Amino acid sequence: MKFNADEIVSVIQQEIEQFQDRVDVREVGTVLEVGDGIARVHGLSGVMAGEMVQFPSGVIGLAFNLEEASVGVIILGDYLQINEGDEVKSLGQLLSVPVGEAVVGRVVDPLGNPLDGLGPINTPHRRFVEDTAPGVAQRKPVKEPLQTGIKAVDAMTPIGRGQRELIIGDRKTGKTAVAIDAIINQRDSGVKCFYVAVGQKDSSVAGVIEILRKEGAMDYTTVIMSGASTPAPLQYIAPYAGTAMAEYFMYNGQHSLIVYDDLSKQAQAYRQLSLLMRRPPGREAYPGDVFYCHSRLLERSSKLSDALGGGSLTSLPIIETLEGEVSAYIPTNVISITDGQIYLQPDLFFAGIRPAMNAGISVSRVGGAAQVKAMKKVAGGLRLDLASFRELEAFAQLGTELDPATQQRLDRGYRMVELLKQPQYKPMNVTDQVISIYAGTTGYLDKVPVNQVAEYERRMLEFFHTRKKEFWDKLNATRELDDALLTQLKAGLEEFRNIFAPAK
Amino acid sequence: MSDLEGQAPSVDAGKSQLARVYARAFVAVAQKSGDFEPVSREFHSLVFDVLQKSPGFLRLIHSPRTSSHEKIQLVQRVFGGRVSPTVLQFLQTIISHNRFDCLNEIALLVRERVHELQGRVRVQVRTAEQLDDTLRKRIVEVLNKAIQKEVVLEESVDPELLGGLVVRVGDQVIDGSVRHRLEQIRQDAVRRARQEIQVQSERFAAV
Repeated sequence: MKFNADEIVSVIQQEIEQFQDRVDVREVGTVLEVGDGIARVHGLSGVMAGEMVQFPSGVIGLAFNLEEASVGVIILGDYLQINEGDEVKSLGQLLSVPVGEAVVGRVVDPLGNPLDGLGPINTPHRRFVEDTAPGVAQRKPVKEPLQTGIKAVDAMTPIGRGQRELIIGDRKTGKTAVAIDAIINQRDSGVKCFYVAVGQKDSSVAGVIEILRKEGAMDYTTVIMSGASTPAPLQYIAPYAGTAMAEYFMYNGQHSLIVYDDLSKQAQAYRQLSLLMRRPPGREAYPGDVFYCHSRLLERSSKLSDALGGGSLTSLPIIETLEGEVSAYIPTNVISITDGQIYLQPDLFFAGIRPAMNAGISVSRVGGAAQVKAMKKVAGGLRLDLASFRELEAFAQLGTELDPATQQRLDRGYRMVELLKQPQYKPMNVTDQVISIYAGTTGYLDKVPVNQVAEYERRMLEFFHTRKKEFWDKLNATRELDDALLTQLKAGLEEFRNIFAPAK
Repeated sequence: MSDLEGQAPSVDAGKSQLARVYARAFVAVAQKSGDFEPVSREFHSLVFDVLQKSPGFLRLIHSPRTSSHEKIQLVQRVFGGRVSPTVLQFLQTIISHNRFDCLNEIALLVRERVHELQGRVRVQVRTAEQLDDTLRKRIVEVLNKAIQKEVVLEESVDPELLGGLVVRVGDQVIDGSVRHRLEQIRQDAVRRARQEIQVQSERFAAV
């Protein structure tokens, strides 16, 4: 756009004419020392914890540590331009970020500044970064499902809107992939998604954004970016900032989903700040309040009561373990805070079982109530069956002669495992999932060679989409498998079994 | 009380925390001795007018090679009879506690405490040009009324302010400088122009 200079001059003139001479009264302090994202400030005697302060370069800081003789400030920005002796002024405000429809589809930093070059974020709304979670009276039980589109997750560890489901596993086990699939699957559900990248490589986040864009998911997703090169204070506040943006939709009666990728890095950033501030270290050198750091964050995910519009905020925190050590400090903390966990294992991952979810120790404590009725019916005992299959499989490796019943259970298990495999970025409709899992658990696949299960499933679903469209539409609409539909489903599966001829 | 003024505070968080303890102790002892004010003034003057101007002596006192016994004797020889016994004993105490490096901070804190007990407040005033007497009188008058305490003015000249004055009382800064006002106008104008452009961009488009 080309600007008309006269108009701008007139605005500026108006502003000068209307300028009210206000004497500025401010509270100040002096920088004693600065470095590594923190500053120690003398003065600011009236500043309160969490209050914003401003350095001469315009950079904002937060009062983090209030001591007798000085104030510890975390610097949210470039700390290299701050010098000893600089005047720091307190702003008398708490940190807030822009929220609203304008942030959807954008890539922003933890302060809400755009990083994607798509112009300023034009919104009248702001929310505090640190906000209290809704209380008991403001909440409602989690009842609605949040479909991730991943068969293994939706069948065995269903997630409800307002739930907090942890994704935990070693490096390179597909943790982010599960979360990204869940975001992609919200395309038609109207759920607003937020992806908070904390301490990730900038290149991996760029890759995630590219995939979301390609899959059309950036239309309803916001990426809050604080990569590995970002100073620790920004990494520390990024999850809170993302939550503030997601809460806007929750409090407006809408649904939102937020992914924290990952909270171990945020805990490390918080540890760095705390140690620099000379707070006493505890277990694994984390400060004593690292539990509170995560609990106050995850407690903000909730399902609001009808009086408050019934909105929800579902969160998928990610934790990276080291060598499968779930009893380390941060993993145990976050496991105890969340409503269940999806546990991903490297040996399963390398055996080609992707998503590499360990069915035995993955749980969802509240999602069962939120599961689609039809899915609940067909997948009821699936998790336990699969877990017992794993035991049986280990036993069978001893090479003993097995009785036919055991052999049959083994065969079914192999096929179920095969059936639950799913390629990346291919979330599946819940109706398709129900048909597939029903076919697997009731033995329609038992005679199909294991290496052709995927092909069988693909063609079976195609068959239902085309030849049994009426049935499929009805199931998709009601999502309840009553007797009439069940008979139709059985008939359909029977019919397809006769059509399918395994390729030699 | 001009001998208690004019030292720019240089702060070290760790030292000032230690110094606080010693300053409190000194004030308590001085008060007990009865003549608190002269003793404090003497101490302050000793630190800033004598010790700071004799770096050789300070080096000797700070040197780890001199034993604290020798240091105490040295202080006794140099200051014995010349300063009041309270100050002398205090110097010897901080030497034996190995806290001589906190001396400046202690002296500053003592001065602050003296002001506090006398109901006075130090106020720094920065102006673009040197204050004249009538203006100074008015500033003190106004500030006395505003703070309800006796004001001790510390003046400094900063041509960059362009005009007006900046008053600092403790951690409060009251900024009435021309520079600050110009900066405010600049910020307001930029913000307003940006707002207008966002709200009604067509108004600004050149045809």
